[in-house]
Amino acid sequence: MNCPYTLTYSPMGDRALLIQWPSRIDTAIIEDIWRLRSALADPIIVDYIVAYHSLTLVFSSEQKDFSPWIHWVQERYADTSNLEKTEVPNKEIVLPVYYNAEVAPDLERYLEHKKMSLSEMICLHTQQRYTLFFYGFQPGFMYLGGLEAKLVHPRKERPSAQVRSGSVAIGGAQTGIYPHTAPGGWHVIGHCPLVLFDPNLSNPCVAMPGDVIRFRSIEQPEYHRILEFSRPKKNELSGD
Amino acid sequence: MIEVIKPGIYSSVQDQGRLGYAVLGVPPSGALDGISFRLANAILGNNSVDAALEITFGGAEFKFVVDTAIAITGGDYTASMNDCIVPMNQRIPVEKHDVLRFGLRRTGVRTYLGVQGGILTEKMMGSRSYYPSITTEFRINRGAFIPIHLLENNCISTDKSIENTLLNQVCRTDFDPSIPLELRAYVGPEYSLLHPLDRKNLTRVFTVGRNDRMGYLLQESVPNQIPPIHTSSALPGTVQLTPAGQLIVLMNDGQVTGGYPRIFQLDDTAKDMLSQCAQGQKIKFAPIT
Repeated sequence: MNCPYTLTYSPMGDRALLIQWPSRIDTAIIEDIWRLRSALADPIIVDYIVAYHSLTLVFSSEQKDFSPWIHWVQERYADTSNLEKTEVPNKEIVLPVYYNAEVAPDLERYLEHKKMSLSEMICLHTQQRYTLFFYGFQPGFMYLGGLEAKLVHPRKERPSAQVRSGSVAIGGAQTGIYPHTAPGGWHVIGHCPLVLFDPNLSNPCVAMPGDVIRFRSIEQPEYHRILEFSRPKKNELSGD
Repeated sequence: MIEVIKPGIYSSVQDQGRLGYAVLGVPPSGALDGISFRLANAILGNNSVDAALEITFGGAEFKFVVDTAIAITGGDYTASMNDCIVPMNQRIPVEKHDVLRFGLRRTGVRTYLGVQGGILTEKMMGSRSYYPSITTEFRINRGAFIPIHLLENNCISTDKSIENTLLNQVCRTDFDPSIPLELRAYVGPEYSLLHPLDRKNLTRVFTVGRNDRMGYLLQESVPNQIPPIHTSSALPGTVQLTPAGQLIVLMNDGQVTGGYPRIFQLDDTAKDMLSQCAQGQKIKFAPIT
């Protein structure tokens, strides 16, 4: 057996099994988690929750004893680890962002704190390739890795009561887009005019975990054009 | 169809939940008190996953546009049909133009109104459970018409054994707020990181605070010296401990990942019972060993 990491297993109640990797944020670990995830399937497992260094299996019924399942996962893990790694090229998805105080209520304060010009910030934010680690927090909310260190900024002490959907924000060492209007503690620096989560589509999210996300700076006319084009048209959406 | 005369404080359509989409960040949703929800379906001979109305704190009033049959389970809010009190946990035949009204609170928080054959609002990602950003509505509104299954014939085959099992489970909602309700809880993944003295504090009596379909806050704080953890999974029934020492019990609309240490995991029955507790109810965690 050549397993790259030592995994730990802990039940979360009697309906879920938490599998943990070493506790750090690391592209190699998240790739390993997704590799194991794709090797696990059983009708009794109704949900899989992926986060930075964990995979949680949610079962449809109570399990008296998780040891047979742990044994099963260990076997699958050894199998997948011994496979020749076939490098699947990840997709690169470019998302347009309008970086302007008109749509970003925290932009000016953020630049003041960071003693940075708008063009410098745009350059730093758009030059990076961000790995989509996983979705969480809200439907379609992307946990992205790779924020440039110079852009890191602690979260707000008091979260804003309402962050508008599409807001592009920075919180600590993370950056992301709020797909839905919600309270939030990140600093909003721009706005993405695309709909990022559409439950009417068979694939409701624009990207898959492992994909690379890039941001592209757009100006006001293009922003409004995309906004007009991507706004969901009520009653015209068809289910699938 | 059912016409909504008064929606009450918060009423929504719920079923067994939206499973299989946690990888996209979609919470499971579904009836908070799963036992009462399943009981309503069992009484009516429905499929166990047929959708029902979840009515929070009563106050709702409905007018039936068609003949059907209903079952009312969970929190008891003195339901009356055309001003005559109707019983809980029984099949009640309904005629066109009948008016169902929920009145004074007797017990519980959430009432389930099951209809024969189930409620037929839109199914999104495998479930009819309301959730903002996924279903068109996230609560039912005054004047709305809720589509229901149309009866073809009036014969039903109920499975009395399922019904009796569910009735014998904790389908009670008549908790005395001052007597601590014991909630069966497994220790959570970060429990072992607590200082032994801090663990002791978790055996105290807690008071239910603000709550909704996302989660229940507990009023008392406890010391917490656990360092921050990386975002990890969270489930309905997960008890999180915030840096300020506040306990949050996540419910069915709670986020699927979170960054707070997970101290306990309620078993399903305990989670269902908690969903019938109002603000002020005393509770206690009963660790499962």
